[in-house]
Amino acid sequence: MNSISEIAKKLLDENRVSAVVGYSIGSLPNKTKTVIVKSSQQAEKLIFNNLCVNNLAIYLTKSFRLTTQKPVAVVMKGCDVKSVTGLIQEKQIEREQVFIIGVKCNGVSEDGKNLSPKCYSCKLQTPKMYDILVGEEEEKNIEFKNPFSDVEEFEKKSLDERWNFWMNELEKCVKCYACRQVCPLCYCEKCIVDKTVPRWIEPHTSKSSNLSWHITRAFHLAGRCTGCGECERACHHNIPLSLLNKKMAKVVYDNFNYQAGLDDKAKSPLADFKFQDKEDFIR
Amino acid sequence: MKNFKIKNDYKNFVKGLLSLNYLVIAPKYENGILKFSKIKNAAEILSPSEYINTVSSTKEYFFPQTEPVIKFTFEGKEIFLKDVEIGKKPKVVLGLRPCDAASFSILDDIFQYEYKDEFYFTRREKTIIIGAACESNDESCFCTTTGLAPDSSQGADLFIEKNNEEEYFLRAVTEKGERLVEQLIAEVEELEEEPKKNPLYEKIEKQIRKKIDLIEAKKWLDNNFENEKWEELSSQCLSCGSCAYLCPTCHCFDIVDEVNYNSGVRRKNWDACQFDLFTLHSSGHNPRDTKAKRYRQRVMHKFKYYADRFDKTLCTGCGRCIRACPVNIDIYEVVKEFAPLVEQN
Repeated sequence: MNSISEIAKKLLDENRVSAVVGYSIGSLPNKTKTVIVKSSQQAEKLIFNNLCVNNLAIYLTKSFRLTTQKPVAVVMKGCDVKSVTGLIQEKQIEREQVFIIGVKCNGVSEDGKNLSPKCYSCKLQTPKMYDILVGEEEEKNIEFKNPFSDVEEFEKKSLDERWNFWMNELEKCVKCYACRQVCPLCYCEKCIVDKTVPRWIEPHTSKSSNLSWHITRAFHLAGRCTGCGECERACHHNIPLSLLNKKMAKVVYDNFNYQAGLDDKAKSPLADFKFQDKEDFIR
Repeated sequence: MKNFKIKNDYKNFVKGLLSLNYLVIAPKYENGILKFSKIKNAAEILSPSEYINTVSSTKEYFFPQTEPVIKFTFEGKEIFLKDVEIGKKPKVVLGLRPCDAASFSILDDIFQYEYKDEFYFTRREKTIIIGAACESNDESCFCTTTGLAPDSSQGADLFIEKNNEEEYFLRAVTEKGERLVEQLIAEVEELEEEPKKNPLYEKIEKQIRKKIDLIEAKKWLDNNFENEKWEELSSQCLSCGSCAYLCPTCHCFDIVDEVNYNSGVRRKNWDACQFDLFTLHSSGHNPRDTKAKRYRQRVMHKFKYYADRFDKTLCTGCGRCIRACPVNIDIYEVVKEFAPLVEQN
């Protein structure tokens, strides 16, 4: 018996949660399917394996309306829990509204072959926060990478090279906004790109309007993005959004010694100020 | 219609096309993804054996993601309109799989339903479609369900196939295609006999996901506008719209005026029925206010409404929506929920 499905069955039978969000066998060999299980009869389809790459924290955001009556249980890896921390910090959910079925994770894969890039700099095989924990931790045979190593490499390039790189990459964007839709921290009820009075960002695709969108998205996630990589995974044009997000994270880390998603009591640098701030505009 | 042998290799044939001053669009790796892109020289071309299919479809060359439809300026209270030029250079779109080539006969119907979209049709008329039979498939492909096969030439002007001796030949499907080949006499030679079928195509057809009975599927849809299944099938959807943006047949768009101080442009931009803004009224009312309603619309439009109106399915089984869905909503599996497989011998 799979212990996740046993836990889910018990939670649903005891009426403690409205649903259990988890993974089941996918329709393709290299994918798992996200499922929202609402009855204990369906709980047996829940699984966990190295294809469970998705960050299910997205289902805790308000638009899914899963936490309105009772808590919702969610199967989560260490990296996914960071997004829950962010949602709690930002008062999107209360800790009591989510029952975290934490899984000990030994790395996940998007294609069934290669380890997901985010796993190389992961120190959270065991989630920092959970209500129940399942799985076995295996010894990791992965060489740990500094999470900012690719940003540091990229920063060595000249301004022109970096500009050309991004203009070339962003030109591919078709503005489907899948990057926004899959992001657990992009929970605004009305996104800036959808506002029409005034129109902040033009809806058509062009180099300049694509740049406006991507800069706005990245800025808005500075100090908030936990690096789950869902935006990049959802982008069917392979725009390296993680590189942009990591640059923001690095700026925040270098200036404020802060990393998103590690402490639900901490205040995020961009949501806080100090009277001693050296910039006087903020006082 | 005639068949033609490609005399030298495939690259030489493309060289011939380029020398005729056509803009050649074909599958090409750009920034790490395979998509239909402009071919500058024949060395860049991938032969039909070198890819399964592109990430995005060819629809952007006929119905671009964004397209100005009219420009305007103001002077005082007066508005002056200016037409928009549509690219005049003749194009060849080369190497489309049957699932993409077949999308044109579907899109042609909607773009001339009640009103003829001159932007779409100008591009259609200026473009020659050269399809290529599939030499491989993946787990997402399900073209046979929609009535196609790895070697269906439907929708193409010319079609590239391999004969049983592994040589490429061109099948002229339309007169437009035949006229193009006639300009390429240095590269092609008319075949007197019908080439022998390469057994590869039949083999691939058998590997593809089994055929679903879409007539039965439609019968179910006819009677199940209200059904709790819709909620169950769509609850995990993230409304990312990747399915519609990559689909060769999804054709919904939004019309937006982008206006500056004294001038502006009216644009057609792609839109998708899985977005909650798609049907949101200015009053705040949204007739499709849940994901279940939006997903039902997607499936109904593809397999019922389009069939009611045009006697066609708004899907060619290319599998792009399945490959791209971040939460593995699989339209083939969805339809299979309410329709049986076709019995095969």
